[in-house]
Amino acid sequence: MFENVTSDVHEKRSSRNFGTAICLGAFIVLLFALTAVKVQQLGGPQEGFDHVVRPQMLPVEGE
Amino acid sequence: MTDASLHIAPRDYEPTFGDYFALLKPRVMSLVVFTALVGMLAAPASLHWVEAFAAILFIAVGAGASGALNMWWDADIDAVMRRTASRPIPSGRVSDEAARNIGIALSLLSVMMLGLTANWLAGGLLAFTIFFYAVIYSMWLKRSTPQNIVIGGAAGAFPPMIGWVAVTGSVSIDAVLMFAIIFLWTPPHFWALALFMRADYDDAGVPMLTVTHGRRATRTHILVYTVIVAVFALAAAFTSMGGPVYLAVAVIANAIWLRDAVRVWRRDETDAEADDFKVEKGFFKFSLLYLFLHFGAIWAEAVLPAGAWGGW
Repeated sequence: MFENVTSDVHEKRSSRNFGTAICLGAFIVLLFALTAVKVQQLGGPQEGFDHVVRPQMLPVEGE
Repeated sequence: MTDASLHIAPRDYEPTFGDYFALLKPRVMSLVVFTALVGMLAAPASLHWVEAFAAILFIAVGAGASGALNMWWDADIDAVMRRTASRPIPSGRVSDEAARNIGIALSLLSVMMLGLTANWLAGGLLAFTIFFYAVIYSMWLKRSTPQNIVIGGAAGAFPPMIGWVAVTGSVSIDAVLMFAIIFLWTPPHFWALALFMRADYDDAGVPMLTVTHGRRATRTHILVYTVIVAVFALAAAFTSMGGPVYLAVAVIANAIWLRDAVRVWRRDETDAEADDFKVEKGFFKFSLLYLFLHFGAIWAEAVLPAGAWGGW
């Protein structure tokens, strides 16, 4: 009897935790997708910074 | 034993995810999603589909958050009304503190995310809507004036305007008309409900028009509001979101609803009780279809090719 009650409580908690995890996971995916869209909307070529100075990053002389 | 006590959960009840989700009033949320989506589609611009999806989601979450705050504040009223006694708080499935905390957290999250996703005017309107429903309507008007439904209806009328603003960044006459249709539709919709659910509102001490001004006055109010909403609904046909499809739908739907309103107005309580409020229930049921038809027609105008059936 006691075991049944406990397992029922655990089952409900686990379903609650699972639902919360799904919501958080979906929120993270949505934030990532939104970020990608917003960055694309900035226009122009996008490139990551890899901590190495490249010639195109240096100011052009005379400008 | 009262009806309400039949719904009470045991003291050691462990809430499920569904119990918390029920705090957000999913049926109201689905209506909010529909009207906000129509507001977005009718707008003369567009968002990236990811932004549009996110904006609709956060508008719906904001509506759900205000629903949770409403349930937290109105738990005492809900407990004595048959229609609401099985809600999560009065039935003991969720604590009132949990409902309040979820409502506040989701309010902040939805407003912030809508502001970042679309624009801050849309985020501000969502914040105002939540404040209006939770504070102005639930905490103040609902228990103090028979005009509670009239003014409180604004909360449900904002979603299509927020959808429009999320896309365009500004408010226009079209957005105001969509707001007006829902705002003016809400009182007759709820007054019809109050006519045939009268014991509920009497027991809860909510000053509905039926209680404070009598049922004859309520029937007259229903007719007057139905006439006013018809004017606004038909006027919307001649804006940029209207067109021949919308005009045809609006003419037919308003003719039917006005006919039903006249029938409700002409009846007295003896007639109504004799057939168990058949006409009042019919008016209430058609009111749901009425709103769906109007916003469905605005949607149709937005997706139909221009020059054929879409727009003028």
